[in-house]
Amino acid sequence: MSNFVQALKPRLRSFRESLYLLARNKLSLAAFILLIIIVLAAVAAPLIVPYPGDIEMDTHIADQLLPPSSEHWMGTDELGRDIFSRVVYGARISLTAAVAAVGLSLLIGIPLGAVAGSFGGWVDNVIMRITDIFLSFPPLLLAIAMVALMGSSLNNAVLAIALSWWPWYTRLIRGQAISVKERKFVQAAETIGTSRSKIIFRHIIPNCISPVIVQASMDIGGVILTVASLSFLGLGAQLPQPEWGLMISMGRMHFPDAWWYCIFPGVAIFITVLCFNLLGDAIREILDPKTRKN
Amino acid sequence: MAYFEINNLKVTHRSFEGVKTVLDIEHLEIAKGETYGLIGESGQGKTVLALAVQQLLRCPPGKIESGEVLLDGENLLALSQKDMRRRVRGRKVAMIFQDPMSCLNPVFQVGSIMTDVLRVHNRGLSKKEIRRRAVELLEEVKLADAESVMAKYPHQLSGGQRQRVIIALALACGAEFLIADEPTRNLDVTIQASILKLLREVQLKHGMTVLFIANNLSLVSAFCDRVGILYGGRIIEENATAELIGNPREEYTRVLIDAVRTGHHERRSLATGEELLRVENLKKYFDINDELRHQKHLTLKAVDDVSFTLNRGEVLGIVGESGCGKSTLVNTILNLFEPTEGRVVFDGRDVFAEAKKGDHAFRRNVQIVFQDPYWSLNPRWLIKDIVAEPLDVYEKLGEAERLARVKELLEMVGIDESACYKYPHEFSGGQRQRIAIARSLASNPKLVVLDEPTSSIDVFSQAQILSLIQELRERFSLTNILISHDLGVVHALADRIAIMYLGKIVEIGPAEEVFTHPRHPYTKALFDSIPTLDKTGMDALKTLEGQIPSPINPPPGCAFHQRCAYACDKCSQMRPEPRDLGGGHVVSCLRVDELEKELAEN
Repeated sequence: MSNFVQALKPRLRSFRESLYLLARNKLSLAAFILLIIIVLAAVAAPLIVPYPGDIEMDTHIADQLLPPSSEHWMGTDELGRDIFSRVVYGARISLTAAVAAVGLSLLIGIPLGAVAGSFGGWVDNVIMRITDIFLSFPPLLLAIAMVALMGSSLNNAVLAIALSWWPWYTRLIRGQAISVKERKFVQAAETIGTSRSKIIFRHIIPNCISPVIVQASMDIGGVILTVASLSFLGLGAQLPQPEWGLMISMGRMHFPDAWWYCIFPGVAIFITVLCFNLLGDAIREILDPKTRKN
Repeated sequence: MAYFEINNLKVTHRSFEGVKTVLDIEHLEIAKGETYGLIGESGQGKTVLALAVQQLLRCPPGKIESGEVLLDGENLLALSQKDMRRRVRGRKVAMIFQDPMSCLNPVFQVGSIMTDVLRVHNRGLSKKEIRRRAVELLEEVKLADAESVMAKYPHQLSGGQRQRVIIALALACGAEFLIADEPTRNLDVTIQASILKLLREVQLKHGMTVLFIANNLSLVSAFCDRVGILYGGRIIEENATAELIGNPREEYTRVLIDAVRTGHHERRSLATGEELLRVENLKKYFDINDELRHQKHLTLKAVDDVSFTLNRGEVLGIVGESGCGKSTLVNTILNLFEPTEGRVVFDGRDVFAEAKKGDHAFRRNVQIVFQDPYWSLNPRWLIKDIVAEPLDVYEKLGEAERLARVKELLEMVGIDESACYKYPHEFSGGQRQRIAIARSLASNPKLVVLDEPTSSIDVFSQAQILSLIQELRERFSLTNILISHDLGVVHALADRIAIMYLGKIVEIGPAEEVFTHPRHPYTKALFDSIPTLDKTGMDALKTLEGQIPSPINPPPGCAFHQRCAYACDKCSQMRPEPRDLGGGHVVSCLRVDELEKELAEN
């Protein structure tokens, strides 16, 4: 037990230091706090939204397209559903989809990049040429093509995004791996006789992960946009799911008379993406060893 | 009146742990034309001082709390950044930074770097005049063929040449106060001496006052008039150089002096007659295909026909300038590089043949301690996992047993067991090196290679690391190969010394013999160029002129003849063969006998 406590200490310390570094930049601190609120709202959505029934099937035709009021903070849609409830629920969908898509592409991209970078030679060549092929398509078009093949659904959209996104991480981590493998501790591991796979997974990957984490946290914003775009085109989430892109797509028909229908989901996308981008910068600062000397 | 003066300067550094005073200098003054040496180890505030007086310190996290810095009666800290830029930096105060590799912008040619600086400070001069002035400056710092240097990019120059360019830049605007922040760090010993000589020369010529910052005393003993010792941000002792070295008052100063005094260690030899390692005609060539310059199929002979034997319990010191092939030699012996030719026999077994068969018993028996413990420990691992890495490969231990072994190893090197759950960055350089040593011993090796084991740790810890190594050698009857350019370290540990030059061993023999009676001209030149406390005054410091020739295209005959003070015609034609002078002292020099006679006559 005491071992466990001891093992925890340095992590706690570095957590405190991270908070300190985060708090130094007021803008990223604001983004961080806002993101925590968004995540909490997404997690607790069923408890906090005023009309949980409106998420799925409830319709109140009498209340259709009401402007924002104290009753419906963001107004209602053409079926009389409360837009505020749906926007909060939408955070759930967008965040899960984005995290899943980025996580999946990290899972593919990191090992491939690390293997390519540390082995070099023909292994590197094969892996990198494949990634080059993927990189020569615009990711959104590639994702659209894949969803078209697999059929439109939110899950397929996530999968398609992951499959068109991983080459960026492969590239990034390969570059890092090439420099990390020249570091002395890798050479030390070689003289010790540590196996190749252990060198890659325990020595090289942990030391080239920082820029990837920064990139990934910024990409979450981009992926949220992509999920929304696919849904907007009808290739992602399907009705009646309260997905932000899909809501904008539906609200488009009632614009500008029922402006609230489009605007509020749009604002939600805007704020969330902006927060992730700002947070990415903060994470870069926290992970950069130069800012945390000693 | 003092030319440069610091009064009550206090600088703090803010981090998440709170505010820390990093510099607290009550009073420091330097007279006009004087050379003041500021000695301190890393982290004692030397660079903070150099930056703070020029208002170049990054604030935050740094902050100048109070104090004044007077240059010629003017308080620099009271000036605005604009005034500093316009009137002070470059014009009155010039600075030479410690790393010539990184402080020249790699995308500009030397010529445009020089003319840029000249143009800023000499508005009104024509382009032609500025260019002429730049060439003059490069000539002044003794760069051969200054015109062609103007057209080169920094990466095409050697470290010494780059440092000369930086000195030329410092001279460019006629500053009279020069701050040299460890100007010879990362340079080879032979280059070090010539840079110091150059600095002295320009100082005298331009009547400059110099604040010379260094991390060890042997460098400044020849160069400085007065010396101050910086410790924990305070100047704890200050005196005329000879007086300070001869009669130190503070304990810390004494440690600093001891650390650089050669040969003060008592060496106990453990050598036996039994052979452990035999290297036979080892060669490591690298193929280079430089298609861009139409040079195909070139070979770089990094290690060229090296043979030696190492007995059980012996320490072989390998000494040479950087680029001489010592690291490649060791890496090839360790089978990290594929050898081009030759054999390595370890404990009666042919290493390369067995490795081909997939037998890696050799790995377990040979370990290496690297130069820089900052880079040789994985920063993301806990100490217990770092030390246990060899155990994980060779012995599958249970968690409790593994931890017990790690604690035992740490205790052996004098590190508290609470270190297990910390990360490398929480330790000082000396402690990290101890941890690296503990790791190297975990697999019970017979041979441990020490690659500059003390050169990147502070002086305080160096002596302790050396005695730790000696103690562990006795305890585990280890055999060592020691790579170092620090003769003090070699003196303290090595039984035999091999001097390498351009991929070859030019001299090898018993340590005492080689030290007191070096026979190869290169060995002599190398020893003479290394500053020690006993060499006072710049004349005692001999320089070895010229660059190491390229190992791609080595000169014909003796590889050293172009830089050798004793070379004659045959040296450029005939390749010297190794010759045994008796007692295992082998030298590759054609004129070894003649030189002996010549020296005896003088």
